[in-house]
Amino acid sequence: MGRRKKKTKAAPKPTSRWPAIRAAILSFFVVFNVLAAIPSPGWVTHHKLSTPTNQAELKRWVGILGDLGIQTEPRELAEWYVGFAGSWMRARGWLLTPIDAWMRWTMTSQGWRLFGMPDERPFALSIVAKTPSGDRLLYQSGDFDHEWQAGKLQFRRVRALFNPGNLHAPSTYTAFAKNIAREAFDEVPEATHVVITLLQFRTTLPGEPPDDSAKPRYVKTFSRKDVE
Amino acid sequence: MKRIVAFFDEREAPTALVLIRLFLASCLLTDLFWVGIYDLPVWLWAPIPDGGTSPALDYNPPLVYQVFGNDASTAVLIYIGLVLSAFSFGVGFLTRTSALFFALLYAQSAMANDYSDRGIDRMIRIVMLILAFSGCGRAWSIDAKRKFGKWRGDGSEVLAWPRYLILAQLVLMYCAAGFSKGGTLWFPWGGYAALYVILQDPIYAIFDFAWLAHPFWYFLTQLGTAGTHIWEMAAPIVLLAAYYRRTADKGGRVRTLFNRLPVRTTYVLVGVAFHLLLAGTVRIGVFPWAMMSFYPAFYRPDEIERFLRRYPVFSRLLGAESREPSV
Repeated sequence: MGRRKKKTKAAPKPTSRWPAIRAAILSFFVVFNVLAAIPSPGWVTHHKLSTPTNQAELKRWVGILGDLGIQTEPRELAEWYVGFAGSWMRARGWLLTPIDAWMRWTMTSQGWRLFGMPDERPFALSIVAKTPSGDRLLYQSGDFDHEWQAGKLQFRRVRALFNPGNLHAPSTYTAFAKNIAREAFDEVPEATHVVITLLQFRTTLPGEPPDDSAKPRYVKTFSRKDVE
Repeated sequence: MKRIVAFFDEREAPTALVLIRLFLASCLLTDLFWVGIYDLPVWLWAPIPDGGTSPALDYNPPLVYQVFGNDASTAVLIYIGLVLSAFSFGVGFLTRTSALFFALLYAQSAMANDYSDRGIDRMIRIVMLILAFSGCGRAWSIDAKRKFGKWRGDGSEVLAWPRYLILAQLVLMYCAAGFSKGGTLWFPWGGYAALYVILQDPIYAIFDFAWLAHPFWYFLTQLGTAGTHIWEMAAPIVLLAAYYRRTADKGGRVRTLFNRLPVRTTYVLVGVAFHLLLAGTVRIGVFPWAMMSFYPAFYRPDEIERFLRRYPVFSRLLGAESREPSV
């Protein structure tokens, strides 16, 4: 980085075929990566659209379309969207065939749905040790008084092992729950059971009546024997 | 076709690529440090009977598990391989090989447990694969010291296309993320409530953000939502600005206006502010830092060097300045 010309500049005229071959290879990757990055709806099913968050979305879109003079109903809109998304994804799959193997081997697909659908029904992880003298809450997301193993449980790679998507807990959840239960037994030797739960809340917007209820979901109860 | 060939054959100083290498390696090593501290290699990358969490290894073990065995020792081996290759990439020892090795091993770890592999990990692999074919190790590296006898390299230029591709990938990612935001909460008709809703998620929020329900703060979150969405979708403006800079001699009112306004720097500063705000409010780990580590790609090496030379310490490191005036 010492003495050198400063501006990006064109190299001397290429004399071999390599620059042309390189340009062709790079152009191939650029074109197909741009195609792969075009936002897609993903594989949408009626089951996926049945979640409360997606039902609320459908209702909002029905209202917006109604304002634009397009009368429809949530069920009708869902039907259309499932068909549209399926066609889109099939066309996308066909279009990306030439680069599919590369993307699978290098795990470099180009889907970038970052917080695309903010979750109005978020979850909190709860870990409770049951002892003869009563329940002991070890950890709960968002509860700053109960932060056992907080660093680990809040680490981005661990959070992904239990944080549910729209439909269900990740397939890693059961094994995660068993592993963390084992550590909870080590922490609380007198515990007879450890209960791992995902509490589901409803986020209300300012002006809406607050909703403090929490629905326990994906409850996993382990005895000491279960985790040995 | 000739113009495309010439474009991909352009050369420049390796400064931007070197900075990306150093910043990215720091992020990777920090992330992997926490994986080690929390004793996670087995949790993340071992089969369930061995203490792991991913069922994928039970029915479809990736190549590395087929070679070294589908058990916890391979998970530890992957971790060691990732740490060593990230480190050798960072210090610039067998830089290209290290980058390629890291990217492919990282992909194997993602196949073993794709839940713990996030969008930023994909982005890192894409950039690493680009860097594996770049001259990012031509300066400030062990490779440079071994080859030229000087840490700062021999001052020769490297191919510029890796920087162009990293810049294009940044633009592609931001733009795609913007247009993928289909939830109504990102739009005016959803009340621009997305940021508020995200900050109420107990798994993500670093603090209790209930106070954001106050009308004034809620209004700021709405501004933030709109700003984030517009900023992401507007990413291609950076490429347009770059094109106008390259073709400044062609004239035209829009081109002249673009070249007068600090379009790119404004975009970058908003990006830095956006990522720092994310880092301070939600638990998304290495994401904001790794994204910012790619930011040197926004600038030409001569622009970066001119900025760094304002500080004596960097000026000394960079060596004597070229006498050619920069344009």
